Amino acid sequence: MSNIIEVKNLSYSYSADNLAKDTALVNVSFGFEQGEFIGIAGHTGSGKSTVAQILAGLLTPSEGRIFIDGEEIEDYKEACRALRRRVGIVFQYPEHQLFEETVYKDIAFGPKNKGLSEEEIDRCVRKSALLAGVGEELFEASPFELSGGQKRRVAIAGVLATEPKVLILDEPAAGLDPKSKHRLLKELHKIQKEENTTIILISHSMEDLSEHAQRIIVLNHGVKFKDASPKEIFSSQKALKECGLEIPEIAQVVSLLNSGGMNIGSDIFTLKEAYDTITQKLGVGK
Amino acid sequence: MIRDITIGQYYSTDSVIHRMDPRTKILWAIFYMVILFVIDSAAMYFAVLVFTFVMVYSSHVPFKFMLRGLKPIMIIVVITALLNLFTTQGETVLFTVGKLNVTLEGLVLSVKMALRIVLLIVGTSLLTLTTSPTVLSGGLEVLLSPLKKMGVPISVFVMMISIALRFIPTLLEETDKIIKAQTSRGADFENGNILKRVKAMVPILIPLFVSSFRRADELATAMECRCYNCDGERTSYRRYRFTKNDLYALIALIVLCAVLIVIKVVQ
Ligand SMILES: Nc1ncnc2c1ncn2[C@@H]1O[C@H](COP(=O)(O)OP(=O)(O)OP(=O)(O)O)[C@@H](O)[C@H]1O
Ligand SMILES: [Mg+2]
Repeated sequence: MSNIIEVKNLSYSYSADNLAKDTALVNVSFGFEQGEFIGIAGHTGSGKSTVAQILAGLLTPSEGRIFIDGEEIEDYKEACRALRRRVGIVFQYPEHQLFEETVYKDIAFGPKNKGLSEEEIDRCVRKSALLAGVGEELFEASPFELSGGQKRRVAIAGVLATEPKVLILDEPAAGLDPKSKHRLLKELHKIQKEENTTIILISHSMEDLSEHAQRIIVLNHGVKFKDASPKEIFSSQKALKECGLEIPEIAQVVSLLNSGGMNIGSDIFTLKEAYDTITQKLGVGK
Repeated sequence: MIRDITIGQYYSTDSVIHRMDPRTKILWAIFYMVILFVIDSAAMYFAVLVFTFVMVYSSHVPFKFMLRGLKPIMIIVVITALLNLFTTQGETVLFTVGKLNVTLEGLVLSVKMALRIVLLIVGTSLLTLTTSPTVLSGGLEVLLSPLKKMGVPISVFVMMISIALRFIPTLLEETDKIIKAQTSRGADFENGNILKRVKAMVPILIPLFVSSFRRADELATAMECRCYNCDGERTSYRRYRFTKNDLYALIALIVLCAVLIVIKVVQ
């Protein structure tokens, strides 16, 4: 399969006239295929949000090449427009973008901008509301009288309604309780499976990424540090620490158990794997 | 585009002007505005222009930064210039566009008005660019304190100004984020006629209002929690002293006035 979107030697600086000043990204290259689930991790200020906004066509790169469906688009303006059509982005605290009188109208904003017919809009709204977990009983409510978690779901539904091929989420779980967070991540999986949407999840939480992402891109001070499977990434605990990140807690427990003489293998990164292996080793449970 | 707006921003660096007493600077800005509205001849404009140039230079605020701040108001400047150009009656008709005569007087007036607005913005933004909001409001409070005796709630007024200044960058950042979020949902702010563009502002303005109210509410609560009381007598951590720099500034002001008077007399 070929990459639907690929960037090569991407650099970005927040100062318009001086590339060496306020540099947020340096020479970053990566690509992704349709239907992948990718995580982007990195310390605070490592350039995660910047890269997300470039991928969504909202920031024009200072340098670099952009390929869409395998073809290079040299004109940045055109590339941004093409990216915007394909990529939906859920910003941190997306609930701050709600503006319509009713939830239904707010979710319908995206499809309406695409110039779809009434029935098409209705179909999009209902489908994305279902995917994002917004009940139809909320459709006529004002988005401003919902709870924080409900607002966030409405906002995510609003982005989903544009039917993006690629969905980027910048720290979508910030400020949610564990249960809502779990639901959200599960819903993302559903979207990935059912719609074959590429999901790019930006998160500090290695736990979340290890559980869901097939591939993790680690950024360190604007430079791509690693682009590999979770297993590979977590196998170098020390290098990761130098980037200001930690391997998942459960992996730390496993590594402690290993060094303490209980040999249970080193590539265990999720709670479930650890539980299975340890109970097996101890001969309890089934 | 959003990042071009520099109104009310503080440019943190070190310069003679940065170190000046805020009271001097405020008086200065007021005086500067008065001068701008008094001058009329080309020579006087030239003198003020040179003077402003020197001020900007010595403030260590990059010219590029200044020019970027002028970009958003350019449209006002252009409209004013055009209005003056076409509506001023005069004797020397340069050329005619349709039924409108463009006169030499109109041309001179429109250049003057444009220059006046630009100088006004540059001169006054120099005040906020070189004075941090805290210092600025401190200076303002001291300057306005005589009004307190007349029962004017100065500290409330000053607090309002400093909060407003403080939140300009925050609001711009928020606006930028909301614009991006709606753009990603297919909103189009760049194309279409005026009516369409105004309508396109709704998805930006409503979230902006909502978040401003939320912020205001949170800020009010936070201030109350820290026992903010607008009736109380407030003391200041900072002492403002009249230093050598302020003396220089005053001398500069006097020199400027002298030059202007000489020009006026000579004519
Ligand atoms: N508007 C801006 N102007 C100037 N510099 C900026 C701006 N936004 C971000 N930066 C800088 O760019 C770098 C990368 O920022 P970015 O927001 O991409 O980080 P991040 O990885 O998303 O961090 P976080 O985890 O805190 O969200 C940082 O050093 C930051 O200071
Ligand atoms: Mg970020």
